[in-house]
Amino acid sequence: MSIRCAGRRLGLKHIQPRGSIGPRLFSSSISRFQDGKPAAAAEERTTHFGFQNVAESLKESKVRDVFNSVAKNYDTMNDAMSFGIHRLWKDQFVQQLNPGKKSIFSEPMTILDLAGGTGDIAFRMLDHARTVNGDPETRVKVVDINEEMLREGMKRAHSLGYRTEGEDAPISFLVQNGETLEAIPDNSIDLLTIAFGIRNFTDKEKALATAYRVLKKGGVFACLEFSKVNNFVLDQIYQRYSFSVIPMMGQLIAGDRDSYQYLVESIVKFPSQKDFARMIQDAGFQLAGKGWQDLTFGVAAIHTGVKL
Amino acid sequence: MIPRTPYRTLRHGLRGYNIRARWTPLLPSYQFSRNDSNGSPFMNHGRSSFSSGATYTPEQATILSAALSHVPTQGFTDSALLMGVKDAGYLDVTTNLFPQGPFDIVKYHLVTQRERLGEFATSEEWKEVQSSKQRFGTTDKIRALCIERLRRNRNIIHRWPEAIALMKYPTNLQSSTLELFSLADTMWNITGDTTVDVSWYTKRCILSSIYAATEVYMTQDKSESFANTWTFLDRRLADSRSMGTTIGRMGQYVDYARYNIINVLRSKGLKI
Repeated sequence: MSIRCAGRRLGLKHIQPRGSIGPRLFSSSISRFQDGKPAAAAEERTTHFGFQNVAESLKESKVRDVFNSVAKNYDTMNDAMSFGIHRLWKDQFVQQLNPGKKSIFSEPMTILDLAGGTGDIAFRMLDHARTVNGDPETRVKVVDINEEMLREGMKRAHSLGYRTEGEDAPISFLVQNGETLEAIPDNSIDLLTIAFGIRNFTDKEKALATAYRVLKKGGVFACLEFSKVNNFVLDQIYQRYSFSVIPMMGQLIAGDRDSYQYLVESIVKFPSQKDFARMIQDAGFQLAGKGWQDLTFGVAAIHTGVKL
Repeated sequence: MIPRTPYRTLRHGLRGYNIRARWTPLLPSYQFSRNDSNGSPFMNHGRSSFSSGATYTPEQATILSAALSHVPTQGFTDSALLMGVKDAGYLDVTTNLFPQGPFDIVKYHLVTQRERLGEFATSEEWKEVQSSKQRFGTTDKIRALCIERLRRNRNIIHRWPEAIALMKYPTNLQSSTLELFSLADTMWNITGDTTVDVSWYTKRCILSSIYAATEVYMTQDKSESFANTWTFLDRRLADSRSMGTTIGRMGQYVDYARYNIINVLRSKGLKI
């Protein structure tokens, strides 16, 4: 009880205790993103930012802050936190989608990698299209709301020898809000991917509706995201790990505990496989099979929807 | 008192002996005669009571049937699926709608043909088949249904070994076994089978194995209009009858041995 009171003193409006490990970790997590602004007008809708509730208008800038601060160490941290398994997930994700045109009668694909930041997925896509399907024409547009992350991606593209300027560049980078994608015309994308990004969106329904808008008929929406571990015992271990070890790693490796505290909280807040599949369906997509595939007991999941 | 019906029905195996006479009070809404295959609340033709969960949206059905039309040349492969997708007017990437790849084509074939078999049971053709013989028994019906279903494989029979390989794939095994069982269930439902005891399972299992064996035989059959396959089927059906008898006798023997053991123990003073 005293812990909760401490939380209130620090300005937390809402705490969702999870098991025995939740609340106690808050003491250190909020100072950074409580930026002293008074909470927006009472009637404004709120959304969750980790375990906190913030005004919808604030979430975007808060998420931006998080990713501004982690951009530099993003890949190192991913490797450390997941023991490198995130690479396997991403490989599996791309292999399964099998991007690239498969016959001479097909058009090359236009892939949109939403929240693609450092280009993890984008480079794998290009690589797969070229080496597996022998298609050098497939293009990837990397879209992110955060310039810092895109800059990292651009750096990597140049070091890998990809051209990033011009209409026909194999990979291009674009700062856009994923919920609206103003610069992307309707029915123009074959494959829209989003890996570990949709969790951070303020309005997920809107993002899904926008994805539906920009996809061509027959286009595929594919989402790789943290999800819920199905096995109770493994889930306990996973929760322990994510709430105790990951923020500490963030502090030691990236010098930034709060961002990683946000990371683990936002994972808990993200809907389960079934609920998210329902959301994809509600946006108008047809689910592929049951709609998702669990990776590593459901730590992550690949969701697939098709616009028909 | 426990009736000894299970063994009797087992012994009768495929002959479709049913115990309705004995169990009628338990089945209140049960009003049709044994040979009537229509209008029972217990029978839902086409939709087996064991649904393998595969239902198709119109778009999925369009793509999969287009893909199936490419199977004779392409086999059960990714390229058949891709061609189906392109025929239906979608993109290369749309193949992601089918996470199981070529197995989704196999499953589509199995499900739609099973459903069509259900429709066949309500058609005039089926009535004609039934009235073609003086005495059209349960085994005759099963035989006719098996042949009817197997005939629907003839266009793709040269590619069927590929489908069997896909069905045996460990991740697909469960849904293909369930689908086979559903097929047997559909056939028994059409014949008007109404058993509610252990023989419900044995009948379906025996028929599943007969059907699967005949299907495998058919892939290698080079005879005129699959005449050898039908004689193979006849032999399996005859076997099943003797197998039903054997199972029945084994049941009797186990029963006998059980009573013997209990009586010996009782004679030693054990209060059972």
